[in-house]
Amino acid sequence: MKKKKFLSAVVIILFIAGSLYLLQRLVMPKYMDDVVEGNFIAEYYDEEKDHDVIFLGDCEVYENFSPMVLWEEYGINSYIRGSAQQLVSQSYYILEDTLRYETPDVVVFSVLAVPYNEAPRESYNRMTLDGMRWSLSKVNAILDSMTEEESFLDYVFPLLRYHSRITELTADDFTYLFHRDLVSHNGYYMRVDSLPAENVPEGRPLGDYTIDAAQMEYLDKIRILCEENGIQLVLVKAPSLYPYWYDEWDAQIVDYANEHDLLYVNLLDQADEAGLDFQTDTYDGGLHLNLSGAEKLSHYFGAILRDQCGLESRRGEEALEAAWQEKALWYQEDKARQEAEIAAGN
Amino acid sequence: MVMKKKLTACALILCLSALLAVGCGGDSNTSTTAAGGSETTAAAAADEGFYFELNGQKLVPGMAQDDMISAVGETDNVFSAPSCAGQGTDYTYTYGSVEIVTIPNADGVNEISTIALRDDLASTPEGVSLYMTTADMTAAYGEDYTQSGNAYTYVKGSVKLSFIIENDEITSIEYSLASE
Repeated sequence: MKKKKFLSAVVIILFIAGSLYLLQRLVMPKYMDDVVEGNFIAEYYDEEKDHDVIFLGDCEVYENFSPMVLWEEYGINSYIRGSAQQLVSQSYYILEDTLRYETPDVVVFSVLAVPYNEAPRESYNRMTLDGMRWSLSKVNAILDSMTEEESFLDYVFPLLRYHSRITELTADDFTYLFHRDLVSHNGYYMRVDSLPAENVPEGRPLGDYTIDAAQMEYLDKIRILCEENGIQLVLVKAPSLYPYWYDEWDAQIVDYANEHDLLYVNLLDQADEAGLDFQTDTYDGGLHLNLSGAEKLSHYFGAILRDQCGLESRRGEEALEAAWQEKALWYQEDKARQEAEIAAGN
Repeated sequence: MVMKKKLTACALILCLSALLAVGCGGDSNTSTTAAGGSETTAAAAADEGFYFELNGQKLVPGMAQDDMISAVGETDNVFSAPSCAGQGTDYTYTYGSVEIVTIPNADGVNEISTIALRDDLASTPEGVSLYMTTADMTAAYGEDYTQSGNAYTYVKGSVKLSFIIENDEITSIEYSLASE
Protein backbone atom coordinates (compact mmCIF):
# COMPACT_ATOMS: atom_id res chain seq x y z
CA MET A 1 0.00 0.00 0.00
CA LYS A 2 2.88 2.35 0.93
CA LYS A 3 4.66 1.48 -2.29
CA LYS A 4 1.52 2.24 -4.28
CA LYS A 5 1.16 5.62 -2.56
CA PHE A 6 4.80 6.41 -3.22
CA LEU A 7 4.45 5.51 -6.90
CA SER A 8 1.32 7.64 -7.19
CA ALA A 9 3.14 10.57 -5.64
CA VAL A 10 6.03 10.13 -8.08
CA VAL A 11 3.62 10.00 -11.03
CA ILE A 12 1.85 13.12 -9.83
CA ILE A 13 5.11 15.01 -9.33
CA LEU A 14 6.37 13.95 -12.76
CA PHE A 15 3.07 14.95 -14.31
CA ILE A 16 3.15 18.39 -12.71
CA ALA A 17 6.82 18.93 -13.55
CA GLY A 18 6.23 17.84 -17.13
CA SER A 19 3.23 20.09 -17.47
CA LEU A 20 5.11 23.07 -16.08
CA TYR A 21 7.97 22.33 -18.45
CA LEU A 22 5.57 22.29 -21.39
CA LEU A 23 3.93 25.47 -20.16
CA GLN A 24 7.35 27.10 -19.90
CA ARG A 25 8.27 26.09 -23.43
CA LEU A 26 4.95 27.41 -24.65
CA VAL A 27 5.24 30.87 -23.12
CA MET A 28 8.91 31.49 -23.88
CA PRO A 29 9.41 33.83 -26.86
CA LYS A 30 10.17 31.96 -30.08
CA TYR A 31 11.87 34.83 -31.97
CA MET A 32 10.75 33.34 -35.26
CA ASP A 33 8.51 36.08 -36.58
CA ASP A 34 10.26 39.43 -36.55
CA VAL A 35 12.93 39.57 -33.85
CA VAL A 36 14.88 36.57 -35.15
CA GLU A 37 18.06 37.85 -33.49
CA GLY A 38 16.86 36.14 -30.31
CA ASN A 39 17.77 32.77 -31.83
CA PHE A 40 21.34 33.51 -32.89
CA ILE A 41 23.15 32.40 -29.74
CA ALA A 42 21.32 29.07 -29.51
CA GLU A 43 21.80 28.17 -33.19
CA TYR A 44 25.53 27.74 -32.65
CA TYR A 45 25.09 24.57 -30.61
CA ASP A 46 23.67 22.67 -33.60
CA GLU A 47 26.80 23.41 -35.63
CA GLU A 48 29.70 21.11 -36.38
CA LYS A 49 32.31 22.83 -34.22
CA ASP A 50 35.50 23.04 -36.18
CA HIS A 51 35.73 26.76 -36.91
CA ASP A 52 38.86 28.66 -37.85
CA VAL A 53 37.36 31.98 -36.82
CA ILE A 54 34.77 32.95 -34.23
CA PHE A 55 33.33 36.47 -34.29
CA LEU A 56 32.11 37.99 -31.03
CA GLY A 57 30.09 41.15 -30.48
CA ASP A 58 26.86 42.93 -31.19
CA CYS A 59 25.05 43.77 -34.42
CA GLU A 60 28.30 45.16 -35.77
CA VAL A 61 29.42 41.58 -36.34
CA TYR A 62 26.24 39.70 -37.12
CA GLU A 63 25.01 42.22 -39.67
CA ASN A 64 28.28 43.12 -41.37
CA PHE A 65 30.23 39.92 -42.04
CA SER A 66 29.18 37.00 -44.21
CA PRO A 67 30.83 33.67 -43.28
CA MET A 68 29.60 32.36 -46.64
CA VAL A 69 31.93 34.74 -48.50
CA LEU A 70 34.80 33.91 -46.15
CA TRP A 71 34.31 30.26 -47.00
CA GLU A 72 33.72 30.58 -50.73
CA GLU A 73 36.53 33.04 -51.40
CA TYR A 74 39.11 32.13 -48.75
CA GLY A 75 38.16 28.67 -47.49
CA ILE A 76 37.81 30.10 -43.97
CA ASN A 77 35.31 28.25 -41.79
CA SER A 78 33.83 30.88 -39.49
CA TYR A 79 30.89 31.44 -37.17
CA ILE A 80 29.48 34.63 -35.68
CA ARG A 81 28.51 34.34 -32.03
CA GLY A 82 26.87 37.72 -32.02
CA SER A 83 23.72 38.97 -30.34
CA ALA A 84 21.81 42.22 -30.05
CA GLN A 85 23.62 44.73 -27.84
CA GLN A 86 26.02 42.06 -26.64
CA LEU A 87 27.86 43.51 -23.65
CA VAL A 88 31.63 43.11 -23.40
CA SER A 89 31.19 40.90 -20.34
CA GLN A 90 28.76 38.73 -22.29
CA SER A 91 31.25 38.42 -25.16
CA TYR A 92 33.77 37.15 -22.64
CA TYR A 93 31.43 34.51 -21.26
CA ILE A 94 30.31 33.50 -24.75
CA LEU A 95 33.97 33.00 -25.62
CA GLU A 96 34.36 30.85 -22.49
CA ASP A 97 31.28 28.92 -23.54
CA THR A 98 32.61 28.47 -27.09
CA LEU A 99 35.86 27.08 -25.75
CA ARG A 100 33.92 24.24 -24.15
CA TYR A 101 33.28 22.98 -27.66
CA GLU A 102 36.17 24.13 -29.84
CA THR A 103 39.31 26.24 -30.02
CA PRO A 104 39.37 28.44 -33.10
CA ASP A 105 42.59 29.85 -34.56
CA VAL A 106 41.29 33.40 -34.51
CA VAL A 107 38.71 35.31 -32.47
CA VAL A 108 37.47 38.55 -34.02
CA PHE A 109 36.02 40.88 -31.40
CA SER A 110 33.98 43.95 -32.30
CA VAL A 111 35.07 46.85 -30.10
CA LEU A 112 32.02 49.11 -30.41
CA ALA A 113 30.57 47.98 -27.09
CA VAL A 114 33.79 48.69 -25.17
CA PRO A 115 33.51 52.48 -24.96
CA TYR A 116 29.75 52.63 -25.47
CA ASN A 117 29.15 50.79 -22.23
CA GLU A 118 25.40 50.61 -22.76
CA ALA A 119 23.31 49.90 -19.68
CA PRO A 120 22.04 46.33 -19.74
CA ARG A 121 18.45 45.95 -20.94
CA GLU A 122 16.36 42.98 -20.04
CA SER A 123 15.13 42.35 -23.56
CA TYR A 124 18.69 42.22 -24.91
CA ASN A 125 19.93 40.20 -21.96
CA ARG A 126 17.25 37.65 -22.65
CA MET A 127 18.14 37.37 -26.32
CA THR A 128 21.76 36.68 -25.43
CA LEU A 129 21.49 34.69 -22.23
CA ASP A 130 18.42 32.51 -22.77
CA GLY A 131 20.10 31.05 -25.85
CA MET A 132 23.22 29.93 -23.97
CA ARG A 133 23.38 26.37 -22.76
CA TRP A 134 23.69 25.98 -19.02
CA SER A 135 27.26 26.13 -17.76
CA LEU A 136 29.24 28.15 -15.25
CA SER A 137 29.83 30.64 -18.06
CA LYS A 138 26.10 31.18 -18.44
CA VAL A 139 25.63 31.54 -14.69
CA ASN A 140 28.37 34.17 -14.52
CA ALA A 141 27.08 35.92 -17.63
CA ILE A 142 23.66 36.23 -16.02
CA LEU A 143 25.04 37.41 -12.68
CA ASP A 144 27.25 39.98 -14.41
CA SER A 145 24.68 41.48 -16.72
CA MET A 146 21.32 41.26 -14.95
CA THR A 147 19.49 44.54 -14.49
CA GLU A 148 18.29 45.47 -11.01
CA GLU A 149 14.76 44.44 -11.94
CA GLU A 150 15.80 40.97 -13.05
CA SER A 151 16.32 37.92 -10.88
CA PHE A 152 18.56 34.93 -11.41
CA LEU A 153 15.66 32.60 -10.71
CA ASP A 154 13.81 34.02 -13.72
CA TYR A 155 16.60 32.68 -15.91
CA VAL A 156 16.55 29.27 -14.25
CA PHE A 157 12.77 29.08 -14.55
CA PRO A 158 11.81 31.36 -17.45
CA LEU A 159 8.17 30.51 -16.74
CA LEU A 160 8.39 32.95 -13.85
CA ARG A 161 9.31 35.71 -16.27
CA TYR A 162 7.13 34.88 -19.24
CA HIS A 163 3.97 33.53 -17.58
CA SER A 164 1.99 36.57 -18.60
CA ARG A 165 2.53 35.73 -22.26
CA ILE A 166 -0.08 32.98 -21.79
CA THR A 167 -2.68 35.54 -22.86
CA GLU A 168 -0.65 36.68 -25.86
CA LEU A 169 0.22 33.38 -27.49
CA THR A 170 0.37 33.20 -31.27
CA ALA A 171 0.46 30.31 -33.72
CA ASP A 172 4.28 30.48 -33.64
CA ASP A 173 4.27 29.55 -29.96
CA PHE A 174 2.69 26.21 -30.84
CA THR A 175 4.51 25.66 -34.14
CA TYR A 176 7.91 26.18 -32.52
CA LEU A 177 7.18 24.54 -29.21
CA PHE A 178 9.96 21.97 -29.69
CA HIS A 179 12.10 23.28 -32.52
CA ARG A 180 13.19 26.42 -34.35
CA ASP A 181 13.87 26.97 -38.03
CA LEU A 182 17.32 28.19 -38.95
CA VAL A 183 17.30 32.00 -39.04
CA SER A 184 20.96 32.93 -39.49
CA HIS A 185 23.78 31.98 -41.82
CA ASN A 186 26.48 30.86 -39.38
CA GLY A 187 25.35 33.72 -37.16
CA TYR A 188 25.04 36.23 -40.02
CA TYR A 189 21.75 38.10 -40.27
CA MET A 190 21.00 38.55 -43.94
CA ARG A 191 19.19 41.65 -45.18
CA VAL A 192 19.01 42.38 -48.88
CA ASP A 193 17.00 45.61 -48.74
CA SER A 194 18.60 49.00 -49.07
CA LEU A 195 18.20 52.41 -47.46
CA PRO A 196 20.82 55.07 -48.26
CA ALA A 197 22.64 56.81 -45.43
CA GLU A 198 21.36 60.37 -45.10
CA ASN A 199 21.48 63.00 -42.39
CA VAL A 200 23.76 60.87 -40.23
CA PRO A 201 24.42 62.97 -37.11
CA GLU A 202 27.95 63.88 -36.13
CA GLY A 203 29.09 62.83 -32.68
CA ARG A 204 28.56 65.50 -30.06
CA PRO A 205 31.49 66.46 -27.83
CA LEU A 206 31.80 64.38 -24.66
CA GLY A 207 32.97 65.59 -21.28
CA ASP A 208 35.22 62.58 -20.84
CA TYR A 209 36.39 60.19 -23.52
CA THR A 210 38.11 57.76 -21.18
CA ILE A 211 36.88 54.23 -21.70
CA ASP A 212 35.46 52.77 -18.52
CA ALA A 213 38.04 50.66 -16.66
CA ALA A 214 35.58 47.83 -16.04
CA GLN A 215 34.97 47.56 -19.76
CA MET A 216 38.69 47.47 -20.47
CA GLU A 217 39.01 44.80 -17.83
CA TYR A 218 36.67 42.52 -19.76
CA LEU A 219 38.51 43.24 -22.96
CA ASP A 220 41.63 42.20 -21.13
CA LYS A 221 39.96 39.02 -19.92
CA ILE A 222 39.05 38.18 -23.52
CA ARG A 223 42.67 38.76 -24.53
CA ILE A 224 44.05 36.62 -21.73
CA LEU A 225 41.60 33.80 -22.43
CA CYS A 226 42.64 33.85 -26.07
CA GLU A 227 46.32 33.86 -25.10
CA GLU A 228 45.85 30.92 -22.74
CA ASN A 229 44.25 28.94 -25.53
CA GLY A 230 46.68 29.87 -28.26
CA ILE A 231 44.08 31.92 -30.13
CA GLN A 232 44.97 35.04 -32.11
CA LEU A 233 42.70 37.88 -31.02
CA VAL A 234 41.78 40.44 -33.67
CA LEU A 235 40.00 43.64 -32.69
CA VAL A 236 37.71 45.15 -35.26
CA LYS A 237 35.59 48.27 -35.63
CA ALA A 238 32.87 47.68 -38.20
CA PRO A 239 32.30 50.37 -40.82
CA SER A 240 28.91 51.42 -39.41
CA LEU A 241 28.39 55.19 -39.58
CA TYR A 242 26.24 55.28 -36.45
CA PRO A 243 26.53 55.08 -33.45
CA TYR A 244 29.36 57.57 -33.71
CA TRP A 245 32.89 56.28 -33.18
CA TYR A 246 35.08 58.96 -31.61
CA ASP A 247 38.74 59.37 -32.55
CA GLU A 248 39.54 59.54 -28.85
CA TRP A 249 38.07 56.07 -28.33
CA ASP A 250 39.87 54.75 -31.35
CA ALA A 251 43.18 56.04 -29.99
CA GLN A 252 42.65 54.09 -26.76
CA ILE A 253 41.89 50.89 -28.66
CA VAL A 254 44.94 51.46 -30.84
CA ASP A 255 47.08 51.92 -27.72
CA TYR A 256 45.67 48.77 -26.17
CA ALA A 257 46.28 46.77 -29.35
CA ASN A 258 49.84 48.08 -29.62
CA GLU A 259 50.53 47.38 -25.97
CA HIS A 260 49.49 43.75 -26.37
CA ASP A 261 50.67 43.22 -29.92
CA LEU A 262 47.15 42.67 -31.25
CA LEU A 263 45.87 43.29 -34.74
CA TYR A 264 43.27 46.07 -34.69
CA VAL A 265 41.39 46.80 -37.90
CA ASN A 266 39.30 49.96 -38.04
CA LEU A 267 37.09 49.18 -41.02
CA LEU A 268 35.37 52.53 -40.69
CA ASP A 269 38.59 54.10 -41.93
CA GLN A 270 38.88 51.46 -44.66
CA ALA A 271 35.29 51.55 -45.92
CA ASP A 272 36.30 53.12 -49.25
CA GLU A 273 39.10 50.63 -49.68
CA ALA A 274 36.61 47.84 -49.06
CA GLY A 275 34.45 49.32 -51.82
CA LEU A 276 31.51 50.18 -49.59
CA ASP A 277 28.96 52.65 -50.90
CA PHE A 278 26.60 53.86 -48.20
CA GLN A 279 24.02 54.77 -50.80
CA THR A 280 23.54 51.13 -51.74
CA ASP A 281 25.28 48.91 -49.19
CA THR A 282 23.26 49.58 -46.06
CA TYR A 283 19.68 48.65 -45.28
CA ASP A 284 19.06 51.13 -42.49
CA GLY A 285 20.76 54.38 -43.38
CA GLY A 286 24.31 53.52 -42.35
CA LEU A 287 23.91 51.55 -39.13
CA HIS A 288 24.27 48.11 -40.66
CA LEU A 289 25.31 46.70 -44.01
CA ASN A 290 22.94 44.86 -46.28
CA LEU A 291 23.96 41.70 -48.10
CA SER A 292 25.78 43.60 -50.82
CA GLY A 293 27.76 45.54 -48.20
CA ALA A 294 28.45 42.52 -45.99
CA GLU A 295 29.74 40.56 -48.97
CA LYS A 296 32.06 43.40 -50.02
CA LEU A 297 33.32 43.78 -46.47
CA SER A 298 33.85 40.05 -46.04
CA HIS A 299 35.77 39.91 -49.31
CA TYR A 300 38.00 42.69 -47.94
CA PHE A 301 38.31 41.30 -44.42
CA GLY A 302 38.91 37.74 -45.60
CA ALA A 303 42.12 38.90 -47.26
CA ILE A 304 43.23 40.38 -43.92
CA LEU A 305 42.48 37.11 -42.12
CA ARG A 306 44.39 35.19 -44.76
CA ASP A 307 47.37 37.53 -45.07
CA GLN A 308 47.75 38.84 -41.52
CA CYS A 309 46.50 35.90 -39.49
CA GLY A 310 47.96 33.21 -41.70
CA LEU A 311 44.71 31.33 -42.18
CA GLU A 312 44.95 28.78 -44.93
CA SER A 313 42.13 27.73 -47.19
CA ARG A 314 40.29 24.59 -46.17
CA ARG A 315 38.50 24.27 -49.48
CA GLY A 316 38.62 20.71 -50.59
CA GLU A 317 38.01 19.19 -47.15
CA GLU A 318 35.19 16.83 -47.97
CA ALA A 319 33.04 17.20 -44.86
CA LEU A 320 33.36 20.96 -44.85
CA GLU A 321 32.62 21.25 -48.56
CA ALA A 322 29.46 19.21 -48.06
CA ALA A 323 28.35 21.27 -45.07
CA TRP A 324 28.93 24.58 -46.85
CA GLN A 325 27.19 23.35 -49.96
CA GLU A 326 24.09 22.82 -47.87
CA LYS A 327 24.53 26.23 -46.24
CA ALA A 328 24.90 27.81 -49.68
CA LEU A 329 21.50 26.49 -50.67
CA TRP A 330 19.86 28.10 -47.65
CA TYR A 331 21.85 31.30 -48.26
CA GLN A 332 20.61 31.55 -51.85
CA GLU A 333 17.10 30.57 -50.83
CA ASP A 334 16.95 33.27 -48.14
CA LYS A 335 18.36 35.84 -50.55
CA ALA A 336 15.85 34.91 -53.27
CA ARG A 337 12.95 34.98 -50.80
CA GLN A 338 13.85 38.45 -49.56
CA GLU A 339 14.36 39.74 -53.09
CA ALA A 340 10.98 38.36 -54.10
CA GLU A 341 9.36 40.06 -51.09
CA ILE A 342 10.95 43.37 -52.05
CA ALA A 343 9.83 42.93 -55.66
CA ALA A 344 6.32 42.22 -54.42
CA GLY A 345 6.45 45.42 -52.40
CA ASN A 346 6.25 43.81 -48.95
CA MET B 1 -12.07 5.13 -9.01
CA VAL B 2 -9.21 6.25 -6.73
CA MET B 3 -6.96 6.69 -9.74
CA LYS B 4 -9.60 8.78 -11.45
CA LYS B 5 -9.86 11.03 -8.38
CA LYS B 6 -6.10 11.45 -8.38
CA LEU B 7 -6.02 12.36 -12.03
CA THR B 8 -8.75 14.90 -11.46
CA ALA B 9 -6.72 16.31 -8.57
CA CYS B 10 -3.69 16.54 -10.84
CA ALA B 11 -5.67 18.34 -13.49
CA LEU B 12 -6.97 20.77 -10.87
CA ILE B 13 -3.45 21.43 -9.56
CA LEU B 14 -2.25 22.04 -13.09
CA CYS B 15 -5.09 24.45 -13.87
CA LEU B 16 -4.41 26.25 -10.61
CA SER B 17 -0.72 26.51 -11.44
CA ALA B 18 -1.54 27.92 -14.82
CA LEU B 19 -4.02 30.38 -13.35
CA LEU B 20 -1.51 31.44 -10.72
CA ALA B 21 1.08 31.80 -13.40
CA VAL B 22 -1.19 34.07 -15.36
CA GLY B 23 -2.48 36.03 -12.46
CA CYS B 24 0.49 36.46 -10.18
CA GLY B 25 1.84 39.54 -11.82
CA GLY B 26 0.72 42.48 -13.79
CA ASP B 27 3.83 42.36 -15.90
CA SER B 28 2.84 41.97 -19.48
CA ASN B 29 6.28 42.66 -20.93
CA THR B 30 7.36 40.26 -23.61
CA SER B 31 10.82 39.74 -24.90
CA THR B 32 10.33 42.46 -27.44
CA THR B 33 9.49 45.07 -24.84
CA ALA B 34 12.36 46.89 -23.23
CA ALA B 35 12.53 46.80 -19.48
CA GLY B 36 13.17 50.01 -17.63
CA GLY B 37 13.38 53.30 -19.44
CA SER B 38 12.18 56.75 -18.68
CA GLU B 39 9.02 57.16 -16.68
CA THR B 40 8.70 60.85 -17.25
CA THR B 41 6.29 62.09 -19.84
CA ALA B 42 4.32 65.26 -19.82
CA ALA B 43 5.19 65.64 -16.15
CA ALA B 44 8.66 66.75 -17.13
CA ALA B 45 7.23 69.59 -19.14
CA ALA B 46 5.06 70.72 -16.27
CA ASP B 47 7.74 71.07 -13.63
CA GLU B 48 9.83 74.15 -13.15
CA GLY B 49 13.04 72.73 -14.54
CA PHE B 50 15.28 73.90 -17.33
CA TYR B 51 13.67 74.10 -20.75
CA PHE B 52 14.76 75.04 -24.23
CA GLU B 53 12.79 77.34 -26.46
CA LEU B 54 12.43 76.61 -30.17
CA ASN B 55 10.11 78.54 -32.48
CA GLY B 56 8.62 80.11 -29.38
CA GLN B 57 7.72 76.71 -27.91
CA LYS B 58 9.05 75.23 -24.70
CA LEU B 59 10.75 71.89 -25.12
CA VAL B 60 11.99 69.64 -22.34
CA PRO B 61 13.52 66.17 -22.20
CA GLY B 62 10.80 63.65 -21.46
CA MET B 63 8.29 65.39 -23.74
CA ALA B 64 6.54 63.06 -26.18
CA GLN B 65 7.91 63.18 -29.71
CA ASP B 66 4.44 63.75 -31.16
CA ASP B 67 3.90 66.71 -28.83
CA MET B 68 7.26 68.12 -29.86
CA ILE B 69 6.42 67.89 -33.56
CA SER B 70 2.99 69.41 -32.96
CA ALA B 71 4.68 72.28 -31.16
CA VAL B 72 7.62 73.08 -33.42
CA GLY B 73 6.62 71.47 -36.70
CA GLU B 74 8.22 68.89 -38.98
CA THR B 75 11.77 69.02 -40.32
CA ASP B 76 13.29 67.42 -43.40
CA ASN B 77 16.46 66.63 -41.51
CA VAL B 78 15.57 63.47 -39.63
CA PHE B 79 17.85 60.51 -38.98
CA SER B 80 16.29 57.30 -37.77
CA ALA B 81 18.34 54.70 -35.96
CA PRO B 82 16.46 51.46 -35.41
CA SER B 83 17.68 49.65 -32.30
CA CYS B 84 19.04 46.17 -32.77
CA ALA B 85 16.40 43.47 -32.77
CA GLY B 86 13.34 45.63 -33.09
CA GLN B 87 13.59 47.43 -29.78
CA GLY B 88 12.22 50.67 -31.16
CA THR B 89 13.82 53.46 -33.13
CA ASP B 90 15.79 56.47 -32.00
CA TYR B 91 15.26 59.62 -34.05
CA THR B 92 17.50 62.64 -34.45
CA TYR B 93 15.59 65.75 -35.58
CA THR B 94 17.69 68.68 -36.69
CA TYR B 95 16.05 72.07 -36.68
CA GLY B 96 18.72 74.46 -37.96
CA SER B 97 21.06 74.94 -35.02
CA VAL B 98 19.28 72.52 -32.71
CA GLU B 99 19.46 68.73 -32.63
CA ILE B 100 16.78 66.80 -30.77
CA VAL B 101 17.08 63.08 -30.11
CA THR B 102 14.04 61.02 -29.18
CA ILE B 103 14.15 57.47 -27.87
CA PRO B 104 11.41 54.99 -26.98
CA ASN B 105 10.31 54.88 -23.35
CA ALA B 106 9.26 51.70 -21.53
CA ASP B 107 5.89 51.82 -23.28
CA GLY B 108 7.46 52.18 -26.70
CA VAL B 109 6.49 55.84 -27.02
CA ASN B 110 9.29 58.08 -28.26
CA GLU B 111 10.21 60.95 -25.94
CA ILE B 112 12.84 63.65 -26.12
CA SER B 113 16.08 62.28 -24.73
CA THR B 114 18.42 65.16 -25.48
CA ILE B 115 18.30 68.64 -26.93
CA ALA B 116 21.68 69.86 -28.15
CA LEU B 117 22.82 73.15 -29.62
CA ARG B 118 24.91 72.68 -32.76
CA ASP B 119 26.27 76.18 -33.28
CA ASP B 120 26.16 79.68 -31.83
CA LEU B 121 23.10 80.70 -33.80
CA ALA B 122 21.03 79.15 -31.04
CA SER B 123 21.22 80.03 -27.38
CA THR B 124 19.61 78.93 -24.13
CA PRO B 125 16.71 81.03 -22.80
CA GLU B 126 19.25 82.41 -20.31
CA GLY B 127 21.36 83.69 -23.21
CA VAL B 128 24.27 81.23 -23.29
CA SER B 129 25.48 79.83 -26.60
CA LEU B 130 28.40 77.82 -27.93
CA TYR B 131 31.87 79.42 -27.94
CA MET B 132 31.07 81.59 -24.90
CA THR B 133 33.25 81.30 -21.81
CA THR B 134 33.06 79.71 -18.37
CA ALA B 135 32.40 83.14 -16.93
CA ASP B 136 29.41 83.58 -19.26
CA MET B 137 28.06 80.24 -18.10
CA THR B 138 28.43 80.99 -14.40
CA ALA B 139 27.04 84.49 -14.88
CA ALA B 140 23.88 82.94 -16.29
CA TYR B 141 23.57 79.81 -14.14
CA GLY B 142 25.68 80.41 -11.05
CA GLU B 143 28.26 78.21 -9.38
CA ASP B 144 25.97 75.39 -8.33
CA TYR B 145 27.20 72.87 -10.87
CA THR B 146 28.87 69.49 -10.68
CA GLN B 147 32.01 68.96 -12.69
CA SER B 148 33.21 65.76 -14.30
CA GLY B 149 36.15 66.15 -16.62
CA ASN B 150 35.27 68.96 -19.00
CA ALA B 151 31.55 68.64 -18.30
CA TYR B 152 29.71 71.13 -16.08
CA THR B 153 26.22 70.06 -15.11
CA TYR B 154 23.34 72.00 -13.60
CA VAL B 155 20.15 70.29 -12.48
CA LYS B 156 16.80 72.02 -12.13
CA GLY B 157 13.58 70.06 -11.72
CA SER B 158 13.83 66.90 -13.77
CA VAL B 159 16.15 68.40 -16.35
CA LYS B 160 19.90 68.48 -16.46
CA LEU B 161 21.77 71.09 -18.47
CA SER B 162 25.33 70.15 -19.36
CA PHE B 163 28.08 72.31 -20.77
CA ILE B 164 31.37 71.01 -22.07
CA ILE B 165 34.13 73.55 -21.83
CA GLU B 166 37.48 73.19 -23.53
CA ASN B 167 40.14 75.91 -23.21
CA ASP B 168 37.58 78.18 -21.57
CA GLU B 169 35.25 77.87 -24.54
CA ILE B 170 31.85 76.20 -24.43
CA THR B 171 31.87 73.43 -27.05
CA SER B 172 28.65 71.66 -26.14
CA ILE B 173 25.31 72.56 -24.58
CA GLU B 174 22.89 69.75 -23.98
CA TYR B 175 19.62 69.22 -22.13
CA SER B 176 18.72 65.75 -20.89
CA LEU B 177 16.76 64.10 -18.11
CA ALA B 178 18.36 64.45 -14.70
CA SER B 179 17.62 60.78 -14.01
CA GLU B 180 19.83 59.59 -16.86
